[in-house]
Amino acid sequence: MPISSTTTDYSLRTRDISILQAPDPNKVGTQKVSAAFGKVSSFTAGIQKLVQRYTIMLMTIKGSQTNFPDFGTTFLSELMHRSNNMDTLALHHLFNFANLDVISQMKSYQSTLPTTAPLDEQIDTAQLVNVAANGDTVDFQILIKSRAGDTVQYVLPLPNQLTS
Amino acid sequence: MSESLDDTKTRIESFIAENFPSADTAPGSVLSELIVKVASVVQNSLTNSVADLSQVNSVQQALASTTDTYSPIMDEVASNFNTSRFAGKKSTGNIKITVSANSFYLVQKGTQFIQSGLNLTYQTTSDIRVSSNPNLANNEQQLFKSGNLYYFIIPVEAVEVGSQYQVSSRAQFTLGSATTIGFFVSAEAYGNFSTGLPQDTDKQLIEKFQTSISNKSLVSPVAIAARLSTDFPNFRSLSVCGANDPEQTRSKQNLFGIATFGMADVYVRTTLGPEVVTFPKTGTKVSTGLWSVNIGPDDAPGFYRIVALLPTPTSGVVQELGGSLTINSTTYDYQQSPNTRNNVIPAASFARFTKYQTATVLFQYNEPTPVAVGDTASFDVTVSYQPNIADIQNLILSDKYRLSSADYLVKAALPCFVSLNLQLVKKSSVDTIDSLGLNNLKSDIFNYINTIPFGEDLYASKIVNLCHKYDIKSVVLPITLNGQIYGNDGSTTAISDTDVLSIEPDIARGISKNTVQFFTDYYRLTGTDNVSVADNIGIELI
Repeated sequence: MPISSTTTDYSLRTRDISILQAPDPNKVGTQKVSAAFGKVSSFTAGIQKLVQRYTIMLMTIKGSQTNFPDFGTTFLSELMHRSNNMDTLALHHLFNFANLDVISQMKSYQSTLPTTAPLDEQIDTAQLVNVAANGDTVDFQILIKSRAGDTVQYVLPLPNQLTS
Repeated sequence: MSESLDDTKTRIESFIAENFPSADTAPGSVLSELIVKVASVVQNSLTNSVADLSQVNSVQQALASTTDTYSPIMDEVASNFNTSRFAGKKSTGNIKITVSANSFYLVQKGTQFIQSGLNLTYQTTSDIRVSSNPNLANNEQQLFKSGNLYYFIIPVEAVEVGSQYQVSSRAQFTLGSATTIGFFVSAEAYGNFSTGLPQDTDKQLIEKFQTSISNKSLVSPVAIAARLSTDFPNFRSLSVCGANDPEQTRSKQNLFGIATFGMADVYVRTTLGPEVVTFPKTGTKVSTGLWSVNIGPDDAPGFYRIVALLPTPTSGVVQELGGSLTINSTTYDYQQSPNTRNNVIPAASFARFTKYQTATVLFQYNEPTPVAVGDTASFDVTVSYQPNIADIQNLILSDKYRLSSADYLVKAALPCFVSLNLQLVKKSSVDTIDSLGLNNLKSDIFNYINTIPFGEDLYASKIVNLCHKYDIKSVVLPITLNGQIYGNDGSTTAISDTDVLSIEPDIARGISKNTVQFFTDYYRLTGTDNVSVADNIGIELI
């Protein structure tokens, strides 16, 4: 069937390298998307690029980059250094602090962009919708809303031993 | 002019934006993380190395350089003058670690402790095992009990060379980010740390050319400085008061009060900040509640003052530094060894701060079990001093190097201990001492005051200049500079000024700009029974 219309034209967008590998269309059922370069390189733009940037900034341990000590959040480091089991309230608490850090960093960068910069690549807000144990992982369900009004939810699974 | 890492990163991002406009290098993007940041680090290092090297194509360019350079080219040139670059010395000291449990502890090599107020990092240099029943054969350390807590003391050294790492007793430390000590409560400096020394810059290395090829026969101040620089790496500066100098009163101690030639007093500085040393002495009971201790010439030659005097613990518990028995009086005298070569010492005041100095200390002490008058006990005496005074004097008196026709008396430079408080006005309400990097301002002021040469004054304006290296709005004026000078007669003089702290001559007490040096420490201990730590260089951000 021919394409009748498009919702968004990404052809003139700046591009980043995609490391959130797309699910295999030939497989049926839920698939995990891992961060990797994959066999075929691909670019990313739009809301997917925003999600990738947010995730990279959230999951980078603040202080792990020797020459850029302010980049990242304490989310993973707090999870790894906690000696006690944590309940969902504690996980929400940890996430909220890290989320504020990421959004602050992203909005600080966004303030330097021209007014013509695409709004669906700029973050408006993000929140933790749900935390649920799922076998050997704990799934963090995150909602990201762009300044264009688009929202996207995705699940960030972390190994169980990080949170216990 | 060096380029900052952020500037390099911006430069690379601009280049990519111009030449590859479709690439996104926003923070958090893969391109930024894997390409821009890595390239920034590599290019920044190369850019600055090229910039620095370009300033050192010749000795003249090295001297004209606006930054500190460390070119290997200068090392090669220095070898022609039979001199070499001093690699620097790390400050060392002990840290007392308080824990909450009686357990076995292993502090691994490389464990880091951070003095967060000054942004200085120290680390252990070997694995240290601590136990309440240590196996001394395995070099295990003792775990001591103090009330409901426990503590142990371990040696550490600064992670880098430099003079700014000399912290004072009771300075607090936090654990490094990758460091864990079980049941950890607190960590503090146990005693003053030793002087650290920076690596020679190219300019300092070039200055050594002159002294290294000069006559080292101890004739002139330059020659003496050259010789002492070679033999004593801690050596910093000297001032010689000889014939016709008003400070040279030792040569006038005769029937006619006329100066005789052949005498000179050599005032030396061998440490950046004040250093302390503790040694045991036997005290004698003089009367009820009153004891005395005699400090000999070999205990701490030329020491400045007694910092603390405490009974030597008999139960194996290490004493708390900072507390002290009440000292009633300290009487200075001198002692010379017979049948050895000695300097002429007309009176006790001339021996003050020399290797001949002795002291009798009367202090108050109520022993736990009363003893008779005349009985003895052991005490730990802590004094502030400059090292190597006796060694330098012995060198100058030695058969091989002495001037046969001269009497050179070596003295530790008379100290003027300085303290000050600063109030800095911040630009933004969110600014903090940490965000502005003001931890380093204390190091800057510490280094400035402790490196003022003989003959120069301490200027408040220079301290203001140091403050404006940081992103502040203003410095609240006036700044009050406080100093306490120790004279030859054992008394002290307080001086204070808001503009220039200057040493006014008092020749009778040996005080002049040519004999006195400014000293300052990061912290000072206040009180005797309830000892607390106060900032000697106080900084308040308002």
